[in-house]
Amino acid sequence: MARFGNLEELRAALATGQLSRRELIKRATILGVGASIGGSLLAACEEDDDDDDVVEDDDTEDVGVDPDDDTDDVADDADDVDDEDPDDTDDDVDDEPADGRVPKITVGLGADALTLMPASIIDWTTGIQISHIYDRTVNYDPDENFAIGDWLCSLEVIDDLTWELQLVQDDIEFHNGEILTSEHFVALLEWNLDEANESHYFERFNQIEEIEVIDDQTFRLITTEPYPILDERLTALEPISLEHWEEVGDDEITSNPVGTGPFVFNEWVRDEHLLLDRNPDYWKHDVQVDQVEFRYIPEFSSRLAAMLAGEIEIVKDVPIDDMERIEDSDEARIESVPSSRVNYVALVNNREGSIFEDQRVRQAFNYAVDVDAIIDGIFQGNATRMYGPLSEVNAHYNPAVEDNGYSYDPDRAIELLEEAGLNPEEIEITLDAPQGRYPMDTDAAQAIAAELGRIGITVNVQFNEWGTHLDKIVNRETGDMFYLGWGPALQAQGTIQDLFVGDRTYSGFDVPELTEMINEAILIVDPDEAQEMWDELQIRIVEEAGWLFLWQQHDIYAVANHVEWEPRADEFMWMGDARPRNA
Amino acid sequence: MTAYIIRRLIHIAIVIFLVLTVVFFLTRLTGDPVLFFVPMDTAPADLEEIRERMGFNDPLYVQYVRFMADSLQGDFGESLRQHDSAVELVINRIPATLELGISALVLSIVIGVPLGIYSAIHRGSIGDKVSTLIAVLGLSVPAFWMGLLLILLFSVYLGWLPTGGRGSLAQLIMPAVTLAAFSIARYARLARSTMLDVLGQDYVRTGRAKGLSENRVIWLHALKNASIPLITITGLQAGHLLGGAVVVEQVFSRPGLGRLLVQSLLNRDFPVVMATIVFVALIYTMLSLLTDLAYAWANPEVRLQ
Repeated sequence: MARFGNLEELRAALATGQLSRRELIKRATILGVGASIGGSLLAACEEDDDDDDVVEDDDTEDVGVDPDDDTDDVADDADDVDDEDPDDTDDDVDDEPADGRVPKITVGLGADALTLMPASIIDWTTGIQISHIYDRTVNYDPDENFAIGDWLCSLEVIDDLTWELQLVQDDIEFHNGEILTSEHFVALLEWNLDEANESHYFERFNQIEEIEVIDDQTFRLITTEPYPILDERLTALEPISLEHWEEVGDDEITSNPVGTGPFVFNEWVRDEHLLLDRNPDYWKHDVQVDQVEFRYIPEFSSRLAAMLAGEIEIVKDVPIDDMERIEDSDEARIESVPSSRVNYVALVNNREGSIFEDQRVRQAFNYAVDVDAIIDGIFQGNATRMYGPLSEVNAHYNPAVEDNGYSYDPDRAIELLEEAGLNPEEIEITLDAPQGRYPMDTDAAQAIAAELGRIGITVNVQFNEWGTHLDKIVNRETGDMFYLGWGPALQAQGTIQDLFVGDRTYSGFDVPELTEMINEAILIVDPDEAQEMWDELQIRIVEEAGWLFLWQQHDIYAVANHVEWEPRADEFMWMGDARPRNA
Repeated sequence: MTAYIIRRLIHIAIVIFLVLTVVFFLTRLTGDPVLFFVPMDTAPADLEEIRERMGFNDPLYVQYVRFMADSLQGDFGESLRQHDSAVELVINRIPATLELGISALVLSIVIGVPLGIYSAIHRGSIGDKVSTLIAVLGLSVPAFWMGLLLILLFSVYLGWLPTGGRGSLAQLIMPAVTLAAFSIARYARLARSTMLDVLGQDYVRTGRAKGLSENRVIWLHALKNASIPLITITGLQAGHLLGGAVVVEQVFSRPGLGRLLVQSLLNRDFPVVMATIVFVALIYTMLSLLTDLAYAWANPEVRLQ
């Protein structure tokens, strides 16, 4: 078939009869159809600006931005990002910080937020993202072993039933310029206490009997009975701009947030990303990051690839096997921290017929497993040995448990089993374990089985899909042992009450004497008195060998080399204090 | 023809009803959904109260009748986790999946059919063997693995394409190729075998004897007759592409129906699972109808009644 380089050649060919009219029409048709298909495909691939799933903040004026402030630049930058091909976004964001700040941090998360309304749904991924737009009433203080400290408010216990909260500043502004007052806290609490709203926090706040507003800066909460963990519960209370809430209503507030936090809402595309811009007027400190994006990448392998390709700056839960790969790359480094999340094996004694009804058997199992060897071998040191039910980062941790804990002693294990009238060779037991839920959980469960096998015990490891695993624990259908992680566990009650009182949802342990002590401890408001009680309980739980005590897992993050950011033990992935690494 | 279409639409309604019934009972077998949307420290009494309030304590047949009555009105309820309408969640994700599925289908046809025809015309040549090798690879390499390899090569090492997401043509290329790989291979294999069969027919020999050009014989006469099996496979491949989107959307983080289905299944978000399955079944059955109607265009001898 003849080819024609330009229009002149084509015209000459037509004139000389080299190309028939029919052939010309045919070629034109093919070209037209081809171009149409190509065009349609390209159009289909374009971002649909009217997509209902895209929630954008189009109320830029409401964000309280000073026109003379450099925020305008940030807002303009954000608009640029919106207008351009998402592919080009990363090109806009140089690795070098602009104006001494990080231009953008993209955090790779496995799942989308379920809502952007604070204090409504309990979900780690959701909470992390919300806490960038809103501020917590009070917060865990990493410098005080994660005891509750001031944030928006300071907290004072007036008596066993009365808590007084006072704003730490009288000029804290929402992103729309509204001033934060006591009313904002009260409104959100009252919303939570209305059962019709089906808030996950209803159960956590319904001990509050009365809310008393003293003045714009001060309010009191009066509880029906002593409720010592109210301070921890208040970490989830993140006030919303009431003007904005009234304007948009209950439905839209879930996707159109205005808070007081370090970042201002820009855009939320469901299952794709949440984009936030720097709040230049953040009341607490100067924010060093111009823009934060939470990008949802469900597969860890894909998240890791995105990290290595330089598309994202922070990823959590890097598998131990991939740590070297990250360290060897030019893009990122590993940051690791002992987590408040603990891993343990329940030695089920709250059901009839379990061999763990005998305390000596529970102790024997603790002596029979070389936990340190598993930490060194399987975790390559990336876990911290626990001797009791609470980890070192728990505010109520009692260091004395280490002296009372169990060291590897297989002979003592056999001795104890024989005292209990059991021959290890005749014990056959099932260990239920999840697969892929916790770091190295599959390998760890098999290693525990192998350790017990060394003294003759036969352990059948039953791996479960996560949902099935939970069902079996809740319905008391596991084997006599089950593997579980628990956290963030920063205060004693959240672990000891939920896992050592026999009728609690996920408990596998029941000793009436301990249950009585726990029920007493959870009503003690005085911190020193409560600590004494928790200390004693930890020692008693170790004596009782309530679990096969294992380890606190380490949270392993990959962090881009140009970002300075330190992980926290409470898994609070907060970019509010991130900064350029070379600053 | 109209009567045929009406009859087929009634069949589609029956299929959807059966799919809804089977999926309803299968999802209920997976376990208690309440555990997935309440905190782990929820007390047993509170769990029980939530189950009661949401109707999960009712007998299964009562739940089924209630669900069918609502779903007939297009109401699949709210997502148990997100508190949004399940149908809205699904509808918002359809464009991403259609975009991916259509691109992959176009790629499969545009690459697979010519590849098969080339192999048939040049049977036994090196080109034929290379084409066969490509087809075998496409059929045997799992989409999950291929996707990750493509990401490693084109995103991590070469830096040419983004690792995932949605919004630009660049973000569509790797997912579409991954999803199309299997279909390209099937088209190539089928086009080769049917073309070889057709090229041996008398009318092809007659065409050549009449002095028609080889291109005219192949692309006009032979291809039209070889196209019926290809149309059949197009209907089947469209279904396969919908199913394959489940894996591809996970690997490439595309916010489509497949990813929504995986997430809602893992979270036991029953309303979203049901709504997604209905839409997928609807798309699949409609594609099947369109395929059957396409026979009439390709071969008037095919009697629809």
